Amino acid sequence: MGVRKPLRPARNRRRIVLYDEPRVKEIKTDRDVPMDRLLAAALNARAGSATDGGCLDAETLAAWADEALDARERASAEAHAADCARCQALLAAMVKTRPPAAEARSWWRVPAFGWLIPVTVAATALVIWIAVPNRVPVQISDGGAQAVDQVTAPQAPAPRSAPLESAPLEDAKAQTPPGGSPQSQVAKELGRSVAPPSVDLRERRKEEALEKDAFRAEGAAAKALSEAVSVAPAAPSAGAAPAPAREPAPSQSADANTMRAAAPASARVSAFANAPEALVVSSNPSTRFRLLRGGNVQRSADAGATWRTETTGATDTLTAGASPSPSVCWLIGPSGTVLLSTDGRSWRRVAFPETVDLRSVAATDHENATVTAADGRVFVTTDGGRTWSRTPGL
Amino acid sequence: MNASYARDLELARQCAAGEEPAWERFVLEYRPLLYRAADALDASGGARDLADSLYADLYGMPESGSERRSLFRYFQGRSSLATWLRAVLAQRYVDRLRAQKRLEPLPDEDSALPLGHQGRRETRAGDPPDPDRVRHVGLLREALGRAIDRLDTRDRLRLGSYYVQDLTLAETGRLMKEHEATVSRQLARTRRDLRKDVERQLREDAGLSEAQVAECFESASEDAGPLDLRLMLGDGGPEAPAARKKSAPDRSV
Repeated sequence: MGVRKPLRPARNRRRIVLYDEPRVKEIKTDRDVPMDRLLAAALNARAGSATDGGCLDAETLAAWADEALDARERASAEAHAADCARCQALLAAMVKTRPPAAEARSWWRVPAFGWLIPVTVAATALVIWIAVPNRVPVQISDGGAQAVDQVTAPQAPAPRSAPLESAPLEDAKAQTPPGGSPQSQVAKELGRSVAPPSVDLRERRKEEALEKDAFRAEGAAAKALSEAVSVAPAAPSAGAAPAPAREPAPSQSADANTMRAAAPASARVSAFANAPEALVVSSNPSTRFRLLRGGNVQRSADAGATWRTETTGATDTLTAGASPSPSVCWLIGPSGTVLLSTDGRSWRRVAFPETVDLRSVAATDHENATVTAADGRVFVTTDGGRTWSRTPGL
Repeated sequence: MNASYARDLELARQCAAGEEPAWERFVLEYRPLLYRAADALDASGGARDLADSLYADLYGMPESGSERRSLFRYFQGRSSLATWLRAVLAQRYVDRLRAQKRLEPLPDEDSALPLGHQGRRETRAGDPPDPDRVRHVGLLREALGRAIDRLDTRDRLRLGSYYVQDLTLAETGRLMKEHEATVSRQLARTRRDLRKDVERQLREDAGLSEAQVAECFESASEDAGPLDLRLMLGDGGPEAPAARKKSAPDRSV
């Protein structure tokens, strides 16, 4: 059995002096006790013998206590007091008569700064509320619209002249294409949420209610469309508004639904009858086209942040368009006006067999498009507009 | 000059000029403060008479035929009036104590010796004096005196505040404008340096061996010697000053 070495003392032997510890508490060796006694005696004798005058007057003593002495005066006073019993006693008396200092408080506990805490918290919350969009999707209990509304899409940039609340049925249909808004469609396709920019829950619920209303209106609009399509060509007057949907027959509604289902999701029909401006959102929502009065078009590649005006050559205000891809866009207008762009910038006039006002268009690419005339006739092209044919059976 | 000091100086000037409203304000604001300071110096109330006499001097009671001379004229505004008043009171208190100490008769040699087991003073008359012991203690004191001389001024003042005035670490820190932890470390360092210096002097200058150095300390622990003013003043025990707690500041003046 080996001999255990004595434990070494801790590496840091220096004690930490806590507050209000009156005297130095150190482990003293056998020589420290006599040293303390001798030290006190020697200092007493030394201080008592040093009486050469020049003691601190009351003014200097008070300035010392108030820390009003400059460095030179302070050093001079300390040099004298170090060997003067009277001045040491005076200084000790000054220390002992010092009024109790107010409790040291952290600066944030000072009443003058107390208001900073709630203000800072409120400002921080405001900044977060503004800066961070609410990305929590809202679950709608409405079963029919749940698939659509699970993604709380931002409000599509609606035509300024056609607010949602007062828009006619067709406008509602135009702004809310089948399956929801273009943004919600894209979001569904991408499989992720698209959050609206900082809207509170109450506003969003209001929007959702409006969206559901629009969704219901869309069904009625589809019925109206099917009614118009199924009606025999009656050569309506140019520019006439579409016949309002009344009581569509079940078969007509089924046809309309069939047609809507046949339209590819990437090419949305936008019809803005009598609208001074219309918006065509591409399959990629960042690319969109704004139809201006007089036939010109504005194109945005950054989701509407900036717009560039493009000349189409048309003189009449275009009424609708379809953009199956960011570079391909079909536009239609009155008197059989059909325009096609395959690069998103230049437009070419496509020959149309009839001089009739066109109401809506659906396209899958730059070759295939379906155009519905105001009189309900539907024309289809599969070669980029070189040839058109009426949809059989319609 | 500090703005508050300037206001105090103006108040002192008005009081010195004998303006009654100023004096009334001074009494209202500063009389409690002065009494608190007097009680801090002497908890038994023995310093209150000093505070009252100070009031008279501050008011400048005219002596027979002479003009009124207020003590306020010495206030120059280098500090607050309250601190200056405390300083004046401390001066008077310390001077009175020192005067009293001078008038007290010194104890005879025997009374300075510690009491024995039977309550009688141990006398060394019958004991043969140990010449080595006396010499060792003398050497130790001389070495300690030289070591103290070599100390820095602030170290000496810190030692005096702590060992002679018996201030606490916190009070010493307030006097030195240091944190009490700093005071504690500095005191420990100074004492360690002093001991090393003393041991070195005993070995090198006095030519003592390590065993003789140990005997020096042993002798000093047995007899602090007649130079211990605490024993001479009769209010100190044989224990080390560090073992004693706070004491009245008048013990060393």
